[in-house]
Amino acid sequence: MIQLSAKILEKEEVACDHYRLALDAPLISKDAHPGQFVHVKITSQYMPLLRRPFSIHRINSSGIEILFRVVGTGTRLLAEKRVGDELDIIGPLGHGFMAKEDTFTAILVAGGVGVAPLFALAERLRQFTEVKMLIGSKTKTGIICLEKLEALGIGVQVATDDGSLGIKGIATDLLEDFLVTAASPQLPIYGCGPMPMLKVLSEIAQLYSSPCQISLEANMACGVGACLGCVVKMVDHHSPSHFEYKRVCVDGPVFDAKEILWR
Amino acid sequence: MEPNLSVNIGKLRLKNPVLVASGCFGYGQEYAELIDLSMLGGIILKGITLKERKGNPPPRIVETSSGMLNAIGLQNMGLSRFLKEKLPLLSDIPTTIIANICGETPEEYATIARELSNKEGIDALEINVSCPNVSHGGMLFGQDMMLTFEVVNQVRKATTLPLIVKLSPNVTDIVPIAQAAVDGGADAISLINTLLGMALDIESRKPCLSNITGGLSGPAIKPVALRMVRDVCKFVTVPVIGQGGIMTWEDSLEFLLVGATAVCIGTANFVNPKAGVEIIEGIRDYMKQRKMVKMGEIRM
Repeated sequence: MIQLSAKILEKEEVACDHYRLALDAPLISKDAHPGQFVHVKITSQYMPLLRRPFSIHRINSSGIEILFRVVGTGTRLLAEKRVGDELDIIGPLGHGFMAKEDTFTAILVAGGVGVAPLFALAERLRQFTEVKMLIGSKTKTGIICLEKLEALGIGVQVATDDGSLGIKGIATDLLEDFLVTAASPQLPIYGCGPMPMLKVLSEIAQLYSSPCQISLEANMACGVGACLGCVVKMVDHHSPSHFEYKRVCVDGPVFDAKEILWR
Repeated sequence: MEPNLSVNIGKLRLKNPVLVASGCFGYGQEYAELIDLSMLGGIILKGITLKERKGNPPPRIVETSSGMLNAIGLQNMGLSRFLKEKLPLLSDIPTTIIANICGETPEEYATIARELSNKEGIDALEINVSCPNVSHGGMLFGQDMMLTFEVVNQVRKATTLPLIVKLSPNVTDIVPIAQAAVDGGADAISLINTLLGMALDIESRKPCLSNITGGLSGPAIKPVALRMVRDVCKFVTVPVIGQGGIMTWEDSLEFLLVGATAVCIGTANFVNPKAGVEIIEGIRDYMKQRKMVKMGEIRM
């Protein structure tokens, strides 16, 4: 973990309101793992005051990339940055995906911009196993990274709510279809996306006895485990009430789906 | 001549006047990779209660104009696990360590204080009578003169550690409360804790925090904090630790000018983990430029 000033090396509008920034941060990328995040100070002003966490989208020798959707004041300001601007970032932070080097096909399930951390994971996993990526979004303009994933030799299937690309349905429909016909059982599943999707994902994983790791998102203040602002409710077998609050920033953001207490 | 930044808080000597605030710095180790902890004047630990507290359900934080609201609800592992799991790590941190304690009754405060006394790694106690996010204890004590006196007095009888009492701004007049803390045996007063506030999401038509209300911190509250610190400094005879919205060394100087002996950095740590260290450097440079050699010369 290090705090540094990183120059924006590349900026790309990958889709409407979706941006990719490449950051010059070799000191962060050398220790970074898929599923980890960076905590970004977007302005030196007091509005917005807090840093914003972004999952690491790609890891290479010169630095890291982040991929984000404009959802509020912070991301809007970030989208206005230019190549050459500097960003104060802290990273790599949190616990990423545990990418086991086994021979099973890995299934990565992304909802919308949830594809961001799964891309880094796909790049890592494809070195030793077959990777299958299932992406869902409301409509075709929200399906991002499709060509890049295919260029990596990753099999991608797409679902859209309106049927404008791929099947008409949601990402977890693709997952069920895939698991029903899969030759081997208990394929490892990795997911990132909106909470309702992740909840269904976790249920399907349990049904098929698949190990399932999911990346969660939360509002954060410190990003390093100090403030306890970003907690999620998790199973605690030792506690009389059977639950505890765990920090997304340091205990996650990637958790075993079985440990999460869904609302 | 190099200025001497050390200050005394009762019998507690700080190497410099910049502390990091309870709840904003964990148990110190969380920031060890990002800054040199030995640079800080001291670290005030996350609040400790007698029993484990799970804290409030999420969402617990929300950003507001130049500030943030939090309703963590004093999540902590409780005294016994603290002693086992965290205390042994504290003696390795080469700066002053102050434990923040919170109870539901005056007796509970005293019990925690007794258990933390004569323990290597704890140099002083901060009595939290100002947490706005718990249903029992906390701010309820700090909003009442008699109860403040009672809590501090019981803790005073339980320990010889230097006692700092952290006050809530959510009162009509903070001065009599500060005096009650001094009468109870406080060696120093720290203020302000967060201001009670709330925020709503107009899309969901619901409060942003699950607890509905939370404590406001950040640069938005600095003018309020400064006014209250000045009021208390004018009245009480013990040292005052000023806090509330300090982001820069300039901010901290305003608190020192109105009479605070030391300052405490809270929300700024989240925004910039180096804030405390940078503020110490800023104070040092300010003194050098004005040929000041000791901290007492800053006060206006």
